Amino acid sequence: MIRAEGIRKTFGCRKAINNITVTIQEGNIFGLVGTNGAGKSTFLRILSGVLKPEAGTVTIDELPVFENEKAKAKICFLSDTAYFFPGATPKTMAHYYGIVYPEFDKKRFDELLNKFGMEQDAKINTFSKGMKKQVSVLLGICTNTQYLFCDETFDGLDPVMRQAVKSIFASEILNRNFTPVIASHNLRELEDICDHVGLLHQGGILLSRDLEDMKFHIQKIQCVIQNPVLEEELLRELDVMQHEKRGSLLTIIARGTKEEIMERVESKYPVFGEVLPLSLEEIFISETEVAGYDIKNLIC
Amino acid sequence: MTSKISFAKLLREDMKRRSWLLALCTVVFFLLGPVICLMNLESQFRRVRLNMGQYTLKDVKEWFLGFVGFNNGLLMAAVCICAVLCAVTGYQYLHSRTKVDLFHSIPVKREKFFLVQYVSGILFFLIPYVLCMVLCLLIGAFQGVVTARHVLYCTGSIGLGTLYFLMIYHVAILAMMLTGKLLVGILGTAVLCGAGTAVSMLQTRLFQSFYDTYFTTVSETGTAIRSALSPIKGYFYAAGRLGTKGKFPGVFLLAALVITILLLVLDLWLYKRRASEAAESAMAFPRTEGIVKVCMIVPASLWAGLLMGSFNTYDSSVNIGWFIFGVLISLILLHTIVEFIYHMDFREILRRKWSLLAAAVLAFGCSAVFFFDLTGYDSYLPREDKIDGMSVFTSNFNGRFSYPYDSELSYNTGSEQRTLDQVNVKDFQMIYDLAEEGVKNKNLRKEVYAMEESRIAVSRAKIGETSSEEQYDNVFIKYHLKSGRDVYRRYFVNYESSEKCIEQLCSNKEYKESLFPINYVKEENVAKCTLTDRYQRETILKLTDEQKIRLIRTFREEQNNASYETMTQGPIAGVLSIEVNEDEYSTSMYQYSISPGFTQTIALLRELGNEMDEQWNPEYAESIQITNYYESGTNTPPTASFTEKGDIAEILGAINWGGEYGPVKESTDYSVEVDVTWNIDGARSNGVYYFTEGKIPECVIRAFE
Repeated sequence: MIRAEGIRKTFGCRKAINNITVTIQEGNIFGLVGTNGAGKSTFLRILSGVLKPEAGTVTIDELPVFENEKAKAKICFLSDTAYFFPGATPKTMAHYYGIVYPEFDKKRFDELLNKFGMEQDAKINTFSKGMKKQVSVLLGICTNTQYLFCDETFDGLDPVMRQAVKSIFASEILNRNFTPVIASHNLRELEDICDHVGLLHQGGILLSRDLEDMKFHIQKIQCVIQNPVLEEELLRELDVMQHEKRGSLLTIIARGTKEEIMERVESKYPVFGEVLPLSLEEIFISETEVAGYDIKNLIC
Repeated sequence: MTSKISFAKLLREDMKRRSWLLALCTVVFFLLGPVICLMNLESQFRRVRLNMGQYTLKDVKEWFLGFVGFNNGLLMAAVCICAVLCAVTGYQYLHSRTKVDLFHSIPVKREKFFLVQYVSGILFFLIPYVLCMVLCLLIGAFQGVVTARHVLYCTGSIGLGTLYFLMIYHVAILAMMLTGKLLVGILGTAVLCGAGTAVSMLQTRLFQSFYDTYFTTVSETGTAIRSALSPIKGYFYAAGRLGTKGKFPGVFLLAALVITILLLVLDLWLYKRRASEAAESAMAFPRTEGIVKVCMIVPASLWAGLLMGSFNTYDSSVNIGWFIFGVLISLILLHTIVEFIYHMDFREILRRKWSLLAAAVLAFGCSAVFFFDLTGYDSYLPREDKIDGMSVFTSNFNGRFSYPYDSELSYNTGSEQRTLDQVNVKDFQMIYDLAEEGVKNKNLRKEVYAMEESRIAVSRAKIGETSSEEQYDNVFIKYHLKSGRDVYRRYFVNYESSEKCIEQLCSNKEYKESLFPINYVKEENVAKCTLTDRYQRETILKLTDEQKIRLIRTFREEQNNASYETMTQGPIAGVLSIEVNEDEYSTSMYQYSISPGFTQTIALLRELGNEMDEQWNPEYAESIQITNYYESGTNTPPTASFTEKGDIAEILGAINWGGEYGPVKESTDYSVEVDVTWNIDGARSNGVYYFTEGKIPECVIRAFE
């Protein structure tokens, strides 16, 4: 488990991280979402022990991270712009990773490299940006560390590669104790892989929720109720997060289970009523509007 | 066990990644070591074979001693550059965010990482350096020029090179720790290596420019301290001392070792405190930005002010207007440049005005201390009861004496200081009175020079005119205090006062015995004597050892017993030059003027077969050509020739030697040059002489009217 409590980090006059407290459970894929400059990379660097926070504590399995070899041996940090040694090849980078991460699986790395269609002895500085990301991800996965911090790792990968990486992550989670933490500004990317999502904005965590839990307890309903009195009654009875009326069509996003909400709707004799699929983006927008933030413009 | 393996593996990995640096160091040391050694030895042996300049195997060995020892400047320069390269390449990862992300996230303690880079940097230097030096020794041994002394010197040189490699290495690491950009780090290294020397030179220059009574002196301790301010200068200084027999700089080397260790401790301390996010910022510790900037721009602006202020002055003084302008403009410029380097944003320059203000206050405050002499430097006059002894130097009298060059210090020391250090007069009242007059005259020099300049500007000086400068004399005085401290000053005094002082001192035999250089010559070491007579003809005296000893002793006795009048009687009868064997490898030349009053010396020289006229013989003067530089300007100076016996006699009656053999009591007029063609028994020769100020013969003046 990764526990961050009261983390604060300032760069000059700018507060990059402002009092973040979050717990990342083992075995979950944690998605860290936020706009550019929200503090995602800074937070991951603090979790990795690269940066030292001014206040607060970060522990990994009860071990403080900063300058702690034992704690750092459990994590591997994949920066948004990975560094490769001048003139290095995937083979030489794997060799280096093998030295600093004793559990590094060289054989698996070679297999994955082959699967991804890259040569061991090709110079990395001749690779495209996407290929470099692939090498970075494969190196991270093959370190066999318990935690893998990926900073905008999926950005720059083509859709096929993204899927491949997601399936590798899923396989790793199934086969061993593996907890990836993925930072991205792309909600759609995180939606189909993450179990838990945290929203970062201007250095603070706005919300941190289990994805399934969010989806189970928030529903989007479209209905048509001819009687305006009954319509008002419905809006009062439900725990509405957001609603919109276009003509006679009423769209409601409300908290509650599907059965509970539909029961209420049926009791108002609707002409028409159905539950619609809700995207992570819509859930976030609704949740944050309730919290008083209008972040429609913030999330792409 | 795992940690040890990790360290060795990390070290190996780093050495693999920076193997290009090892290759570069190897090539450089190989070229500057064994290759140049072979080339030079070949050339040396060729000289021996051809017996060029009486070159022997002993000379080759001596050269080789310097090459593998402490006299190989090229190799020393390579050591310095290698140190900077190793530090910059080893720690430049701290200046890159992507590299920091990798290296600070892996499960390796940062101290271990620091150590890996540190050790690999040392190995990149040490391995090729030691191997190449050993190779040089082997080459020398094969050529038959190696002795135990060579092995000792070579070992010492390796030790010294390693010590100063480490010092420069630590300084460069310090620069990399303090900065966050590679270029700024390299600039920082240059600043740290040179700042101490620059500030020390600034101090000297400020003293020279603002203090009327200052003159440059050198001391062992002062030289050592100044050298220690820069690791590179310290390296060359230490090598120079170690290469000089009997001058082992034990304390200096110990201090260097301590400084090296302290620098390493500082590097480690800063490394631990350095935030990873400092990468790609100009300064790693933002709070140091202002301090570093002020420390840099204050001395730099004072230098700029001095340069601008001394642009149009003929001595070491400064024009205060230009000085202030120079300081002001350079403060603003340098502040702008530094702030731009820090922030890459011109808007930040205006926001940091407080540090600019602080720098201005410091710069102008420092200037005010010197300009207004707030420390009372020029007014310094210790109480007589605090003085143990004093000495005085005047160019006219003391300038003719040269002393044994028995140390590097004296080689670098001006003739004034050497004389002052040689003598310590306990009964110093006459010197103290001179000093008192000098203190009262502290602003007189500038006034007199300014007056002289305007006099020349209004009406160009003509032949025969006397300038007001010649009524005054620059005297140099040393106070040897009872506390052990020596204080040196230069004063501008009335010419008569300085002459009176010297005259009184010359009645003191002890003074003369400590002043006259002949008293320091060991007659048994005299190799050769040469006599230059008044006609400036040079003759090597063919003397036996016994005759040499007799001549030296006679001259010494006569000079020690001579009165001031006798000693300063002019023109001199001749110059006795003595070549002395200082040690196995070096000789020195000393020149002593023979006054016409030294009758015993002159008689002995005659006895030894060398004729010396006590006065000019006009019969020997074939012709005289006089050049008048008063009228030259940009044109060829006018000349006048004299062949009439009457004119020649008149001219000969007024001429004197120039330079240190010129008249003591009067000033020499160097604007009129007298070239005499002598014809002595059919042998022609030329001699150059001068007139005394204001005593140019009428025939000469008429010739130029």
